[in-house]
Amino acid sequence: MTGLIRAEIRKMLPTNLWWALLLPVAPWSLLVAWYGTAIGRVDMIQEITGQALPTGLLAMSLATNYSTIFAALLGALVMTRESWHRTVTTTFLTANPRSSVLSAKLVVCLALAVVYGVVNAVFGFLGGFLGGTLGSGSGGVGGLDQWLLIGGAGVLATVLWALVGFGFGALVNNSVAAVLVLVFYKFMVDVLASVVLAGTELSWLSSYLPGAASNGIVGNLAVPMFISEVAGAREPIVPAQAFQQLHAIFGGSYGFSWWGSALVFAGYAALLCGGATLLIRDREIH
Amino acid sequence: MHDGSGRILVQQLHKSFGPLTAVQNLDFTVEPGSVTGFLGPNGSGKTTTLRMILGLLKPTSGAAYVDGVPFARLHHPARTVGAVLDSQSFHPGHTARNHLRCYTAATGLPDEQADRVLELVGLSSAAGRKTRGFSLGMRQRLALATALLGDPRILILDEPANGMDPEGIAWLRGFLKAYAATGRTVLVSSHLLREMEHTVDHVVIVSRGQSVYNGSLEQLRATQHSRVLVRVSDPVALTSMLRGTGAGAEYLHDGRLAVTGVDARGMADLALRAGVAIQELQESSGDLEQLFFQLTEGQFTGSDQPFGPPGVTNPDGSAQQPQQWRHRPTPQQPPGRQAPPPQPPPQPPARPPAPSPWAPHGAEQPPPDSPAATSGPPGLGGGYGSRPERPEQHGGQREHEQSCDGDDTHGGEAR
Repeated sequence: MTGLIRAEIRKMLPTNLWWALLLPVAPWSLLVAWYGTAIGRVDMIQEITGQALPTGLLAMSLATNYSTIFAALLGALVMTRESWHRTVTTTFLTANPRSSVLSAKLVVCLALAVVYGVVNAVFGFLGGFLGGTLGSGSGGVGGLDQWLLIGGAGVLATVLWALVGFGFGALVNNSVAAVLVLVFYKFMVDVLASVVLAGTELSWLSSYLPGAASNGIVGNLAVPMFISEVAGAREPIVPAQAFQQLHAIFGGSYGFSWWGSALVFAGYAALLCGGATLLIRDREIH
Repeated sequence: MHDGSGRILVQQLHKSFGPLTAVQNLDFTVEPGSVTGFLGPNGSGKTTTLRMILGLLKPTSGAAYVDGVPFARLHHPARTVGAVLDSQSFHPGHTARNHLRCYTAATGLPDEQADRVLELVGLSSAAGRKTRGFSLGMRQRLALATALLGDPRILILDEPANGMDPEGIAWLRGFLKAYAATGRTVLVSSHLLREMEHTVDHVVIVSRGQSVYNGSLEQLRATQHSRVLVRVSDPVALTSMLRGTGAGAEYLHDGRLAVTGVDARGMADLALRAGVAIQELQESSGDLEQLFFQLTEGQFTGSDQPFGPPGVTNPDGSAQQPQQWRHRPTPQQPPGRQAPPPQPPPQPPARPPAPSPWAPHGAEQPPPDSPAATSGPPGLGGGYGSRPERPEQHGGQREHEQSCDGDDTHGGEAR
């Protein structure tokens, strides 16, 4: 098994896929966190609310919920590009059983996803730090513990997205289809489904959609954190609508715990990866 | 568990893709110690069969065993069987060495093995180059290097000569023979018998997914009667003479007679008795390629138009065109007939077989007995050019083979 993992690392590292997909993550997280932190500390907001707002935490949630797509694409391409380049033939000829190859790929995919998540968190911190130090006034940045918590949840969300991408890619076995479906689903289908469900009796269901659940991992931490920072002692009387409006933008849903979202989303990842393992055993390699 | 035999066993293999039957009732064994050719026209199920042997495709019914077990149950598949299936299966961003090291890691081999096999296939100088820029011939070599990584007992190659230059083909032949001579098993598929004729000892010939011949090449060759090609001053007198002796005679388009049933000496005696002068006399052994065409004939229904359109250039010169028109349309077995019954080698045709009806007219191969039947450089080793009858051509070809590979233990095969 270690040999297979080494083989997968050797397949991945000389190619530019892993760093090409990582490349956009760093500036994206940096800029969103920077701008997000700075906006809470502009004079106008300080005049209106009487204090600087830790919007950087919310911005971090937003940044993470977008940057996870890159890990998902990486996961999807780990398997499908072997079919694309037809190297899957040799891969399956040199390893028995096929599921061992899948496991090795999963390990490498997980490790790279952690790197993606950490890059997202580190550049987010950096952005928050820059936004916090360069602006005028004091406060409104949030504590280090809060940033660590959000960054950590971001790593978890990134890893789970990589797994979802991996399982989905291995299932559909087609690079183009896997990439298109993942992007469309994450940024369109899931959002539209939430909108459609919103007014109906099934609105509770939207928290369980894959996209919403994944956004909830960070969003359900960041939004309550932000509100408790802003409201302080008045937190219990903050209307639910305030939560809901923030959740709508920054992810998560009112009253849903972050770990609940993580569990739901992990369920999707497990379902896809398990399905792929079963399917790949009997897949015909032409 | 593995039986360590190094044998490939195919039993009643059957594979359908939806309504299309790709392989049916296929049975054969590939023994170690010799090169076995797996021959058949394009689309006859060769690749499908090889992929079933290698566990990449699931048989609809029947089974294939490698070293005594189905491929999926091999513990160290790459050390038991190496395969060249697809010369395109490299990541373009990997160098040749990168590519091989992925698989040394996967199979637990030392990394130096990558450089060793690169040297073996003559790619050492390209080890650090990305496969993106590799020619087809280099890809074939790299694919072979990949197959050889685990020093397998069994080597399976699917059309390995595709895209290789003549020198590469000659090298490959020598390599495969030397590999088999060490007691290992080599199964190599091709759609050209000619390409394999000097490399393989055994052949399995398939047509429409069924085996039509399975045995030694020597036996197959023995089923083809030899003929005597003769040019005489008075063919009519000679043929009437021959009719009395029971020997068969046939006019060739170049004015010669092809006589079966007598050897060259008998022919000379007969000519003397008939009182005709012999202008040219040549013994011709059976043409395997023609026999191969016959065995695998009629796979595609589109073959009922055996001729190219008028005006296609004929390498023999257009003067012969009308005669050729007479000769070519004499298929003994109309195209589109049922597949020949499997197994025992078919009886040799009484007359020289007609050219392949589906041969692309662009190839416009002259009839096999034409002395002008050479195409391609002599160094081609008969790999792709039409196979000439002239013995000196073969001598030259063998020299070429041996000069390219000293390990060619079998030397030139007696024909």
